[in-house]
Amino acid sequence: MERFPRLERENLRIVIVVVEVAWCDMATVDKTIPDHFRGILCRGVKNYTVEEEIAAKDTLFEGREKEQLLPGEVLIRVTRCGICAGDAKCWSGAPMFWGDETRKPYVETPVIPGHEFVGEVIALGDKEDKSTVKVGDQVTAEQIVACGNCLYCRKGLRWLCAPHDIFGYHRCVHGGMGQYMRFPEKSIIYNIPKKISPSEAVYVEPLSCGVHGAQRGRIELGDTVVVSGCGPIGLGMVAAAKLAGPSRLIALDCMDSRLDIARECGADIVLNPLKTNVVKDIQELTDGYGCDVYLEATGNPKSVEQGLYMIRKNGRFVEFSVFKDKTAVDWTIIGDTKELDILGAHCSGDNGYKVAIDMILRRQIPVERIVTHELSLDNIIQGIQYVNEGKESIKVAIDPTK
Amino acid sequence: MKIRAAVLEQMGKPVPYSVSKPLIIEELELDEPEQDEVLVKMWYVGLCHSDLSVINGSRPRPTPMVLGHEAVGQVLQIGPGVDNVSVGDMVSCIFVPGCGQCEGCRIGRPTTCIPGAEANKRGVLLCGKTHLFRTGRGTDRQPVYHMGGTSGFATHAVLSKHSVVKVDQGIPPEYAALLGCGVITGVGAVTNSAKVSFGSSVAIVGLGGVGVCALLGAKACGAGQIVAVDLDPRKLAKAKELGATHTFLVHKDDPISKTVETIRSQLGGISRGGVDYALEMAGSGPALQIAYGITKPGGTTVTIGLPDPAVHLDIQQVSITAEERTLIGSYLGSGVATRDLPRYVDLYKKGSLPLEKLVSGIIPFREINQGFDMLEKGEVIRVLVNLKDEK
Repeated sequence: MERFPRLERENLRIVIVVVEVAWCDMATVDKTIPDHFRGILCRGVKNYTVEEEIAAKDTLFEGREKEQLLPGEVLIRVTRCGICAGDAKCWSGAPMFWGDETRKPYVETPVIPGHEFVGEVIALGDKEDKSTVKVGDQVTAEQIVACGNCLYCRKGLRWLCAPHDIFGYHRCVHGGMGQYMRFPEKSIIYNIPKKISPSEAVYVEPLSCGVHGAQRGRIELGDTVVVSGCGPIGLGMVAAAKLAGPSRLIALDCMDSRLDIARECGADIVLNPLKTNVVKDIQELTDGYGCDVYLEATGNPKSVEQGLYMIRKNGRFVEFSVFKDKTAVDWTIIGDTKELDILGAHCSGDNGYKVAIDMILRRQIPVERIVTHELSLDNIIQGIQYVNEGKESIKVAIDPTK
Repeated sequence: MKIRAAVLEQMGKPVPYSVSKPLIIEELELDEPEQDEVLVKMWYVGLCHSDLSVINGSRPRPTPMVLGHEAVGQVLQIGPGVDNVSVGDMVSCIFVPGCGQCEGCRIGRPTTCIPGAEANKRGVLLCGKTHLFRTGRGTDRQPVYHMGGTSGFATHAVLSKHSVVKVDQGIPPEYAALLGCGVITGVGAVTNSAKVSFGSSVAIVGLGGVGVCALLGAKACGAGQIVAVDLDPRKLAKAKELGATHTFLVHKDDPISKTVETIRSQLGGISRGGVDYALEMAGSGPALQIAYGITKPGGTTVTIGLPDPAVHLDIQQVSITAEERTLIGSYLGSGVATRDLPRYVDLYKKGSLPLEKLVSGIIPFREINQGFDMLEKGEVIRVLVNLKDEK
């Protein structure tokens, strides 16, 4: 067999691994995996290109041959990949991705972007009976591939992992804006029941973030909860917060069309800060005390101030957003005035994905109203522009099968 | 003033109570409300297992005693210093009065109030005295004791101002009756003690009145799986109707370990066969053992049960450490009634807490012993005695 001559040249560790793999009945390699595939490459600021022939060997297999999938690795055919506001900001040149005087660049180019993906398993590195997923399953993986070794991973906070390999930004974990993807061994993979269509499943990652944000708010039964910002994350927070049984769930957004969707997600009251004094409205609703929980999902400094004024003493203020501009506020309000709990939130926490998949399965959120656009790979720039403008669309997804 | 009340003279009378008549309706004298006290016209009072535990002697109290603690009524008169309710208000009664001064009350844990617990133990009001008397010949007065500072099985009652919470009249009094015991205990166990987060798995062992309240609470908090466990298939059917996602019938003769094993294996996919939170709502040793057994490693077990004081907990001690377990005692829902009851009324109005599903029936005062038969046989969730129509 062709494989064995190559084995003799490898070092002992790889020999053991590959022998184990070769001797196992690993009939899980789909021989139709191409050597090249179609996808997007992020090459630099405002430089995302559609590539017809991305080399699978470089991007999916780290230079190995395609038959040499390592144990725990999973290969998927991507069915959808969402465009995150983060992707759009990265394309635009935001310093958090490209670096400035205070931080190092985060993104490594050239890389296939995309961390909100769903696809079908076509190959496994493990024997089928050892693997938690089977060929043919519809799956996603946590956007972050945690290292397991850093301080945060050891504390059980894997979503804050220090090396922070997020699909689509680091070259060891190419993302989902292409026809194929590989999940490395340390990925945390979730099976998505096929009752959920790819067009719905593409919303799992953003919803998992909304779930985590809502959980950080420690909402109690009967609370008055305000969600500011009805984009994909904010709407997810509305639907998740609803489950916790608030007596009043209020959604804020400057676009009435988004407020309509917030209502469909479960908001009891929707308010437009451009049309009404929302701080006063909330104070009136709560006998002058203020809301118990404020979930901030706009990335707009005005929303931060507004939240600090409308929240009650000892309330919980959750901040999820990425900001473009600095926020200025009299910091006294945090301590002396209101003794607040300010809680940052990043990614999906420990069980955001599990809860999100369950929510979609139980139809606890109208996903079809949130995933508004599904574009082919060719239209990636149009998609990014939709996201940057945030007017016509809510969640834009790429369909690499188109 | 003269009132009529159902008095328990002798504990431990046999079933059926319709025959042995442990509660006799008599005329009693009720003293006026004094400093910080209120006079309430009783409207509806629920029959709770805590009352039954006194009747059957498993939780002895001083006798003669007027039972009844899950009550709603209307304030007729207020004594000096009463600032929290006014004449005409509809009020729910709270059977652990929080004095407001002690360490527990000051840090927002009135259920741990020491003077309140003391008064309850002695069968008197917070002031230290009883207001109920049997009048004999001449000026002889035999004291009759209060239950939980309430004594609701009566046309009227005097309570400490700390024992009543004003309730919005937007909720029908029949449902408001359940707020002060079943609802605050059951829902509070879920939201204050266990602090169930949305999407998590919850087991409820014992689907009596309080257990059903916990089920409604778990549903309102967004629990992902609600597992109902009981000896009685009728209760499990009701639980399923009210939102349980899984039900398990316990066979009385099975050893606890077998029951736990069966439930765990069938819950396989959820948290390694155990639940995130298991709530014991039956007030029995075996029920708590089952609840503990089906809690996942690292999970939380909550108990609201008030069994016979002779019952001791039988748990494999090593498991507490090896599985990092948490066991929480939850009294009156670990709540603050003045904070929680208005919230529950709000949620009822929104439809998130369908309290109407708890009321199995309303009976006239004279049928109170039959009501306890129904409770004892497990035929009902909550039965209310109608005192509104009694003069």
